[in-house]
Amino acid sequence: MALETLTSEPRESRVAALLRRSERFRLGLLLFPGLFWLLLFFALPLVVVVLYSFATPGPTGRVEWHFTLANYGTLFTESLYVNAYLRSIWAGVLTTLICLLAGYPLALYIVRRPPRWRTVLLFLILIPFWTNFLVRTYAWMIILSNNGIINSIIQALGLPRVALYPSEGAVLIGLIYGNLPFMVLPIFASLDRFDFTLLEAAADLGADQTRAFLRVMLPLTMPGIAAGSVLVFIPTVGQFVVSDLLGGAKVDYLGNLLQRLFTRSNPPNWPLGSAMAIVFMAVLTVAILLYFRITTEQDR
Amino acid sequence: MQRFRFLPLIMVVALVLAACGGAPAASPGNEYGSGGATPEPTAAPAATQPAQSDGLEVDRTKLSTELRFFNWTDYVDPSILEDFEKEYGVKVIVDLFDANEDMIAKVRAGRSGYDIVTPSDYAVETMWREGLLAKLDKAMLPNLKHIDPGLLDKYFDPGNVYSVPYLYGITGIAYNKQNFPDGVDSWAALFDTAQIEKYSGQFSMLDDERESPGAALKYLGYSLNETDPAALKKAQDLLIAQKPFLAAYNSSDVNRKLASGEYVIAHAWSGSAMQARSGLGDEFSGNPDIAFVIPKEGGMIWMDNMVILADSPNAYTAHVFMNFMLRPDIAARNAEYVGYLTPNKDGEQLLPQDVIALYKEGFAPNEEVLKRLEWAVRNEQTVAFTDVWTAVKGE
Repeated sequence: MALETLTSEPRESRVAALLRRSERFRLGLLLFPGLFWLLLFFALPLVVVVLYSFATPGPTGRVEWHFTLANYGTLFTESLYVNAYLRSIWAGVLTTLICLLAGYPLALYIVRRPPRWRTVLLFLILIPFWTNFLVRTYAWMIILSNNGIINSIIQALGLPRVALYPSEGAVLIGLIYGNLPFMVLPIFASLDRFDFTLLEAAADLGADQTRAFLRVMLPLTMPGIAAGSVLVFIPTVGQFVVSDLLGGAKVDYLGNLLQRLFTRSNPPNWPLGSAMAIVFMAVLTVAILLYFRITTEQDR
Repeated sequence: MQRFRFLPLIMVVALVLAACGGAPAASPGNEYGSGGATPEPTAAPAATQPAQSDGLEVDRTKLSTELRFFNWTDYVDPSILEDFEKEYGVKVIVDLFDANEDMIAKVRAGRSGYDIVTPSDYAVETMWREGLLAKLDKAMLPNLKHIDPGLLDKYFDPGNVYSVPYLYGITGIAYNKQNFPDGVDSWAALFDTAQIEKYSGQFSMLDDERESPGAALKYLGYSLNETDPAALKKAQDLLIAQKPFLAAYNSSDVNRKLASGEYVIAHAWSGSAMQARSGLGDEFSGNPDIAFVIPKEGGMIWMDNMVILADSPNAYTAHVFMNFMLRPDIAARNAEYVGYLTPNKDGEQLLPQDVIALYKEGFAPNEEVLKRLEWAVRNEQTVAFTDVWTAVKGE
């Protein structure tokens, strides 16, 4: 025992000395595991995508390493691609807005319930997520289809059937349904931290309800709104499953176009797909930075 | 109050994780093995006795214990794989793909682990040109003699050096006789706006960049391999004009929607029309009013083929399996289950009478129809079809 302590003692102190000597070294040591995984699983794939976006598609779909800017050229000159971007972003904005308008009151309602009920209500929102998203989208197909639940009710009432699915409206319903919880939960989190006596204070100082909401509650819950919006917007813009299943695959959103370029078209065009993904990422990054700057302005 | 503070955050994280798992990932290897009844090591007498029916003396010591079969969805009778396991003690593990391009990308990456794959015609050519396929040992495939010579030695693999036919099909129009008592004989039933407005929202076209533009080209009187820009533009305009009336571009469950009556007519593969007519196992029941026709302007023919991957470690076993699948009785059983057509002419004789009757009704091509069918070839020019399809979808 004593011998062991003797031999290990000097080694330990040497490491300790090194750590003392260099603050930076210590920091590096602590950050290394995290950075390593980040580089491996985030940066590396991204670098590959960037490289692909400057490569040439081969005649059979194999990526050829001839540097070209043609992929980016195609994206910005062909209206088809520009339209797919605009259509997806529009769907994303619309879904986010509707989720916000529906989600905020819902979160507010839940937060004002007694604690026991809050847990129950939150779990009710969460429970559908224990089923695969694909299955839930199929459920909507059954609800909206020509022989589906809604049309059966309409027919039972003696009215003519309505073509609800497949349609753009059905896509929007699917998107809102799938993303609503992503909006509700962050807003709930920030409402939970909101001190409701501030509203009474505002009223004491002469603010009516609308004013109190706009000037006190809304700014203080802005972080939740921002987080929720980003969580809804990003997956919505990139999705392809909902528009395929509920939209009858009739119109291309960004995700559909990407999926086809990578796995369906003949030959597959990975370089063009990669360029699309990079441009998409750049657009999103700028949009989100702007969004955060606007929504958190009050803080500064 | 306090204890709820972190609950929403945890939930958000859980949701994000749940969403990550939401993409329709390819099904993980479906195992069609006979479950608990693992095959005992073959008894001595059986081991020495060659399997007569296969016309091939199999050296069982050279067989692997497993074979990995990369196949299209719903494209093999699982009981056949169980029989193969019973006969040879080799467990066949099936993995699924739903597009040639997807499959090639996986194989191209190397070490895919698959032994046997079923690429379509043009994909066979892409694969052997890239060195992804092993040359076949014909001495191990005596059952190749049962295959219709008309389906051998095709453009994608002259001399069948790398591939043997698995199943084939034709693309035309499936319709419900209740809605079309006089029958259908032209692509006009899917493209003429005066006709299709009557069943707007009740018909579909295949979600495929060669099939739908190909059908439009046929209607316009061109070859479905036509890449002349003017012809392609006309086909594109035709598809765009058709789109508002269309229920969906659908290549996945046309069979069900025809059988249920949700579609009254559809651009369809013969096998999926066959399934709409006679049902698919216990998944859904058939509709006796479904008919299938290759329009007078012509249609497409295509074939899926068995190949062995160049990096397959079990080439010997793969040959044995291939020869087994080429056996007439097995080929007939498979074709009956799947609904597509068997290239095995001796196997075709063994099909039940009701299936033969359906073939005669139009679900399989006769000599006269064969003349109207075209293979879709791929070359440098056919890249143009991607642009046509993107334009149609982007409208």
